Amino acid sequence: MQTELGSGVDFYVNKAIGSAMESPGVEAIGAELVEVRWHGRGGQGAVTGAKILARAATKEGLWIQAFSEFGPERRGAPVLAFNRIGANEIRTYAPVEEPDVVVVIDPALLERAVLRGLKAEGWLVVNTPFSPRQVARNVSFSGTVATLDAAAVSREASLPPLANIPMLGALAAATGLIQRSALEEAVFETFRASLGEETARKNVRAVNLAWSQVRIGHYLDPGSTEEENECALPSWQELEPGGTLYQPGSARDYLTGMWRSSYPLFKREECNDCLRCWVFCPDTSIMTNEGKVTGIDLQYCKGCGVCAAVCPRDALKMVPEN
Amino acid sequence: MQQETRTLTGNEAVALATKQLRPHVVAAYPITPQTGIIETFSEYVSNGEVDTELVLAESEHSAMSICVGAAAAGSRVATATSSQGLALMAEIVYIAAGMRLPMVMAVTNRALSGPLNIHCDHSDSMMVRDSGWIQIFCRDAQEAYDSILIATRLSEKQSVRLPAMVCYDGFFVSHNLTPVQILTDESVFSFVGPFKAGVDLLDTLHPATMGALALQNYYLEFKRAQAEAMRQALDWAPQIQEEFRLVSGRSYGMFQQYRLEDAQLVLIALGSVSRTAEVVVDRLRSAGWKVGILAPRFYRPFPRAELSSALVGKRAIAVLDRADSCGAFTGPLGLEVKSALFDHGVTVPVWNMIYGLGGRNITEQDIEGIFFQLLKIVQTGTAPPEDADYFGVREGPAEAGGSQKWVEVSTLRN
Repeated sequence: MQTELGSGVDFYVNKAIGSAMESPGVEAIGAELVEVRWHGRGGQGAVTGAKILARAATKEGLWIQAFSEFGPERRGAPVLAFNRIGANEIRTYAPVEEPDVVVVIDPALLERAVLRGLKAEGWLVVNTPFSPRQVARNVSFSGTVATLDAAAVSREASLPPLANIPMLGALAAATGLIQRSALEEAVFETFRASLGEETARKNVRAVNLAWSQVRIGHYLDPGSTEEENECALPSWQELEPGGTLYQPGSARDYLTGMWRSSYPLFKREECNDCLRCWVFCPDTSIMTNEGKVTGIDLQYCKGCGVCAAVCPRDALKMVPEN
Repeated sequence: MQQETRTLTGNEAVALATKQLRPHVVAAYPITPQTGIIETFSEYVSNGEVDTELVLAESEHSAMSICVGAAAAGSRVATATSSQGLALMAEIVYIAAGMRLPMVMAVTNRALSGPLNIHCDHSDSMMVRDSGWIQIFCRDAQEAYDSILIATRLSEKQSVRLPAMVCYDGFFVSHNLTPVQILTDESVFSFVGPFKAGVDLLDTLHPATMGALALQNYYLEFKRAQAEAMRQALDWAPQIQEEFRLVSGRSYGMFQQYRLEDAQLVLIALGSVSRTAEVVVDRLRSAGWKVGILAPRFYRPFPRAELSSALVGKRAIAVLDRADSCGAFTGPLGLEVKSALFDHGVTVPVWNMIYGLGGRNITEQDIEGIFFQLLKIVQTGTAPPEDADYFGVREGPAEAGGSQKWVEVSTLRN
């Protein structure tokens, strides 16, 4: 485990749990019931991650739940997955409102909103090349932060850039929720069944790498977290009958650019302004001025790639998000 | 109060009422026993008697979808269906109510398959009782005619804005030719008034979005608002029916009662059977029996409080259900009545009977027999069975030790 040396007096790393002591499971974090919320996007494997965590916990004789919550389902749309892990039978089917652990699989999703309900003394596990301290400061969180550059781990394990398995390793290592051996076993079994033994071994290696590369830290003096200012929703008496919206263009308030995992790189010098991209873009994200393409509106572009596919020149090319 | 008496079937009376509403759009698909409505209405359209865009859709699902679209575009809309047609519509039936679109739909009650059956029961309307539509059950063609007009007014009331079903018995009413009092076109139109759109999607100067997604953070509030609209319908129905009385001379309540006030034995039923029962009540009354009838008109909203107070002090009640709620062991009307009485602290023996499914006839003698049973309940002080009885069902011989009077000779030979 790396430590964040020389980072100042108020932030310490190497919390005395996790990989360093081959944790004894749930008791390590001193709770009867641990609740985990995963933030990812459709296709990034948050749901799979939650399921594998559940299988690993089962191997340790723990009671588990793994479930997910979708909005309009679509590859790239933000999704939530949940785990409950406990020593005894879990009977609640209520939503997880105040998780102990939040895992953010997609670095672009990291903003204060992911802290919603997260206990002040909880864990925030983030896929990012940044340090735990930078993350803690960025979202003003007072609990324990773990970070892992999952893309680097995947590269090293010769896997496609999927973050869920490395993040599973980071989660288990940081919280001590699951022993490494149980997690490796669950990962191996899952991937051997679906993708064969070689892929399974690579994924186990990703868990191992994550275990050693995860960075963990927390404030010595837990500071107070700022209250999230949730915008108030209307009461039932205030709603228009049948949900009619009289405000045109309200979709403008809904920034779908967050869904993107790759974006169209526009080369002005290659463009002949045929405007095929403008016609085909399902989100009016192609910006124009007097019949000339001026750029891409990345606040709304979901990264579907249709514009690049219909471009007759090389003016648009899809590039992975960073 | 200029009126004309015509001899009409229930379906013709409903078609005529629909014409007098001057709907902008009617979309429908034929199904027995509703077909007569749309047949008659098509004649009106082709004769130029009404200026309605009549869309003969390729299915009921499409018909209701067209109605939803037309209502959202600011039109007065009417349609009609039965049984499987309503079942096929069901998906859009909920959407019409959820989008709070006023419209009126005649439901000519017919049993749902299977087994396949074309005759009357109320299972089709009951299937969508929770959809958020107003449901009025009519006893005869006159009520069906009148209720189309009343339902339209109530549906279009701004604080209500819920679609409304006018339900009446297939064949018993729909195909039965009886005298019906008809209002003039002018007095009908002055009663219902011109259509005032709540939303008009064709109004490009005031653009609106309808049917937007409402997930966990909004859906509950919309459903709560819908429940409130139903309460508004409960509040407004008496006033609108009073206005109708002034126009027509015909008086309607949330339920119809017949010699109920001093009655001790009461029969509760929806639809045409409650008219048949009037004959029986008259006969028993002349023999000195204190019997009466309560026929709910509004099943949704259900007049719980008013119904309960009308039943205070009664000695025994029979609730007849022309539909079953499989697994509740009580019919849908029985469930409503029992729960209303319980909530209002009215304790009276209630005997629930499922009868007449798939068009099985019920006779005056049958109804007389039901009153005799009620009397027996009162005299012996025995509680009626907790579960519903199936009235008139053929029972087989008891499994063992029964009093079989028939023996298979062949089995004796072996």
